[in-house]
Amino acid sequence: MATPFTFEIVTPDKMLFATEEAAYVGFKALSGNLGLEAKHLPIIATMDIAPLKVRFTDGSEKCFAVCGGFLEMKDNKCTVLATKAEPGEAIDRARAQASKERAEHRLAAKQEGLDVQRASLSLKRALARLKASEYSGKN
Amino acid sequence: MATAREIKSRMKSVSSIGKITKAMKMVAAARMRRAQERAAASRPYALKIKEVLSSVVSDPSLLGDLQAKAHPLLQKREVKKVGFLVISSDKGLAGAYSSNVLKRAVTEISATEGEAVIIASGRTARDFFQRRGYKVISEHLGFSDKPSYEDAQELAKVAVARFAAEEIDQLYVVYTIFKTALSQIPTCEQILPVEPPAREEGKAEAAFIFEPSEDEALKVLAPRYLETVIYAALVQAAASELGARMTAMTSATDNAGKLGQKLLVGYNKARQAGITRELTEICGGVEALKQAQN
Repeated sequence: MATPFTFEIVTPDKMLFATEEAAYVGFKALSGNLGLEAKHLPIIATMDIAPLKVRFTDGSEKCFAVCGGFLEMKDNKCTVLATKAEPGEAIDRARAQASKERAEHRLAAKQEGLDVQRASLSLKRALARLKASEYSGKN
Repeated sequence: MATAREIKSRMKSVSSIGKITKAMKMVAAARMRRAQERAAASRPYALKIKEVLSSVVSDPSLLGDLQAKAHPLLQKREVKKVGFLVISSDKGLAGAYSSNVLKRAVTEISATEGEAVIIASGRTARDFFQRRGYKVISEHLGFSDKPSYEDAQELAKVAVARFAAEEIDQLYVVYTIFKTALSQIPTCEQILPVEPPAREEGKAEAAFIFEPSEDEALKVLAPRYLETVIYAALVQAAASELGARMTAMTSATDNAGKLGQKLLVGYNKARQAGITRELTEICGGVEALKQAQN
């Protein structure tokens, strides 16, 4: 059995999730995908807008949509600081799908005065939420 | 002396004002509790992000040339224009809450040497500074008693933009710290340029691996930190506002009760005086008739 470590997700308005029984955390840093297990060296990672996966010691998994932020791991304790985070099963898939299409349309139409950065960020968020939701749906 | 009818109508209005203030007091009390809970819930994130920021800036590889390599938000420059983010309430009826924080802001402004510009959060702050001819560069209304993180993000965005455009060289936030429902303390803190929190002495920390790099982390972290500080100030101010309103409305309700009692005594006196007068008149009339018949 994998060594457990403490894992928490903190957002500005609340402590979203906390467990003592995490075995593995997989997420996307700005530089690429990373996976952490217990007793990892102290690390501070800047996260991209992407789904984040936690595997527990009993083998079950949980997926979150995380909209950027930081992940800090030290002393066998992993803390995710996210501006916004949602557990996969709480995501309204229809809404995420709609906002994905909206962002795609906006990017494809290339209208004058389009805030490309904002539209592509919104697309990224929608994709992260969709993926996280799909993943949670399978379990 | 007022007539019984006049007193009666005053009693009616006093008692209905009392009912309204009582209702406002209860609403404020309930919402203050919620605001306090929110302040408590936001604390872990604020603490943690402070910790991460201090880890980043005290990293050996950044030390020494921090000033040179630092993110623009951390860079100090000559202060010509000072910004004040003043957080007050949208609505009145909160006792001295707004006037206390505005007074504090004016004291701070007169103590600075540079030119002062105002970012106003809350209607009372905007009106106050506009009336007195200060330069209000941005106003944010409608969330003073229920701030969300998005509101803080909005404020931070404005602050960062003005700071980058060199419209302000320094930014202070003036807000009210919530101690208890009875005591709220107006405070002033510098938030721009960001002063990295000092690391606790004697706490030997393991060196962190940064993914992808310290610079990258700082780039994301600095504005996030600013948002967090502003959010904390907004939440504290909201709890203070509701606390002050609750206290003000409690004493207003008490006063309405006392005034009602006084008016009731006056009313009874007036009523009795009226009855006595009528009786004397009737008696006098009867006597006069008797004498006329004889």
